[in-house]
Amino acid sequence: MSQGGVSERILFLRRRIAAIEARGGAARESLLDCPRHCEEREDFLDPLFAAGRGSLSEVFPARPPDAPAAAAFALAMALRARAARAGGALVLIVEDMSAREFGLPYGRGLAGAGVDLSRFALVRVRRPREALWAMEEALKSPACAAVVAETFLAPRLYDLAASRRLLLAARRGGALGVLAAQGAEAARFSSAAELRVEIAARPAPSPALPSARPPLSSMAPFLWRLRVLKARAGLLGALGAFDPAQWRDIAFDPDRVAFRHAFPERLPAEAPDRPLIAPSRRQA
Amino acid sequence: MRRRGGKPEAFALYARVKGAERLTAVDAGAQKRGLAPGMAVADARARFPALALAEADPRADAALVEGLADWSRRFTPLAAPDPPDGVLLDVTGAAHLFGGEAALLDDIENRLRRLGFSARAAIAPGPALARALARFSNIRNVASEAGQEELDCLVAAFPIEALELEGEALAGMRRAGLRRLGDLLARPRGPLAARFGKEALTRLDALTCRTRDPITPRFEAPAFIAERRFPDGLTRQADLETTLERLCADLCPMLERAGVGARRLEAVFYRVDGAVKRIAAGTSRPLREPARLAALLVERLSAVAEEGLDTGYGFDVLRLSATEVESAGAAQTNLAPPPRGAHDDADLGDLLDRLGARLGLRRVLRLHPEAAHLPEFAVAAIPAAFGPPAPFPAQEAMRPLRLFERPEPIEAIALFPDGPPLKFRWRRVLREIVAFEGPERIAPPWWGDAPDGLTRDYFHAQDRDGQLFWLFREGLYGRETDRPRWFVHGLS
Repeated sequence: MSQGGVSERILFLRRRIAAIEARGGAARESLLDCPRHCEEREDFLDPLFAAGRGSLSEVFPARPPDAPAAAAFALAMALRARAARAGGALVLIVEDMSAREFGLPYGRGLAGAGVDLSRFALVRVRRPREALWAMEEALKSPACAAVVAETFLAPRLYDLAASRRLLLAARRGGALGVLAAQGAEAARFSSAAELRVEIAARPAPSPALPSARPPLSSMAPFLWRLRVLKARAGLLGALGAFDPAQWRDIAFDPDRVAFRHAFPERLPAEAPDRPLIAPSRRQA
Repeated sequence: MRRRGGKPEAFALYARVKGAERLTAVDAGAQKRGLAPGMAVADARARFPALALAEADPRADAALVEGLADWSRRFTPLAAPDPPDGVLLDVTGAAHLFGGEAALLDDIENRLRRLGFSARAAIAPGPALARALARFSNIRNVASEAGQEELDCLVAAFPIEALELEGEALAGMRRAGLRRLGDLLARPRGPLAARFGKEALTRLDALTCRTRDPITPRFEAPAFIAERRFPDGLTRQADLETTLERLCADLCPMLERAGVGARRLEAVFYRVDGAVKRIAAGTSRPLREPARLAALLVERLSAVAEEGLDTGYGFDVLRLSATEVESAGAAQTNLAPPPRGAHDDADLGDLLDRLGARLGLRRVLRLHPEAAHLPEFAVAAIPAAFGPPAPFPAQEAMRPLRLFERPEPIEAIALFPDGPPLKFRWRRVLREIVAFEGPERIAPPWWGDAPDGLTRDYFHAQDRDGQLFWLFREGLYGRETDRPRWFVHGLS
């Protein structure tokens, strides 16, 4: 772990302690304090995954190249929803255009992320309209715990009425629907979805020296930067509980099947013969 | 039997035979003016200058005959094209549905006439005899209980062309003064076979129904069929859907009695003007609930209708058949509704069937593990109709979440030819690698078809923006190649 990583850890722990002290000390928190408090809560998405509660979420990439990261986050949400409902199936709908741009979901990688492939189906569709239709059908079915659709959407196609249809289908089937829109700007859509988040890939901490490249952690595919653009009132806490401009780090733990703070729990093994901070680099 | 064109006085088709243009078929107008197949085009033009000509297209003719064979499946499921210009139907046990054999023949001829064909139909105990009756006789219907002598008498009046022999044998018979088949029947068989070949006697036996050629139908007759006929064509999609539901309700008791469930259904729509449309739906497990089968077909129908179901003047016969069935035990019916999640497998099967009916069966996939080292072969995407996959084996190595169908070539820069990459250019953007994991060496299977394939070194790499790539270098530097190439194989 580089020097940057260590200081990051210490900073993170300090903030955690401050948050815990604030929570314990003042039981009568005012709403104004809440953002600070919520910032440190890693399970703020949990209300979304309550068993038997159908809902619809949208995941937008911050920039077009972040689309694979956004799709991975959508998959993580689906995994979390599936954990809340044993035996439920996971259906992944991928538009052909998306498969050409970013590749098809890969079975070995999915299995590594904790997808139960015996209760999984991959549906390839030609057009966004078909994707929305397939998503609605899958959400309506009592078999599905979660449905993810990766598609290039147009605001003309996915409007208030279309999203309302999906939401009602999700309520009927009790499934979580996640729409991973690709190549689209979140601001151009208005929809009935309960949650809209924007996802960016989380850059690796920059090394102390340009030539020293740290090893890639196996958690890297499950680390994101997230921004809640929209949430239905009361879903993620009280009004004003989140700031649409605030980016926060979030991670998904495939072993525990839960979202958590992005603090690296499983660190890569550190070389025992090397001091944590090399003296010569202290000024660097 | 040709489609009439725009009503010229006389019309003929010609083809090039050994460098000369000769007529191959003539219509009634041309026949009246003394033209016949085999005549040179120049002679025919000299006799009748206003003759309309078109080049013969045997392939289109064959397609037309096959289309007619499909069309005539409305009368019986066993229909076969009989090239060059006929269709054979096995109407055993089907004629009474159309009011008897004579009524069936009338029906067939009338319908074909309305479609613009001049056709002759005949029913006989054997296919060869029926074929000859339609071409060389005015008798249309020979009862199946006719005795051998009766048949011999009938056949005796046919000209020897009815044997449809070619070349030497036919010419030989003419030289010998044999004109009618009766001349052959009256003679001993041995010398005839010696002189004109065995084929002549085989054909003669087939004509007199001593032997019966089987009719090889164009499509195998399914075991379970339900059909509805309407005096007028149905044009509205809602009507078609209702009819499909009723057909399913007709079909399912048959399936239940036989103890099977449908794995594949085919609905055939016969349009009033002769066109035939078919839709098919597959299921992932044997099904025989009418509502579920109907839902699949209706789904498929509306998918077809979106692309334009050309109803034209409407469909007057709808036939539903279970083309593939599988044995299925009777289901236990419960009084109490089952708990939620108890039927998850069945529910998932239903969902995947419905998606497959609309999107196409090949688009609804399940991922099966394969025992292969090359990443692209380690997983097989197999249509969901083939059943659920085996459990995936546990794996240690890190794999990306997404894989390109074919690896995309990149330009990569590495410090050493066999070292990890520093930077690479993919889709015109230069990306700097800030963290990586690797290499993981995967060698191609030396026991396989391409033992000299190149070894791959895989790297997980993260660029400055945080994007994750799965790269590989193809070929070991210095040992396998001097210029290893780089590819992006996956993203996560």
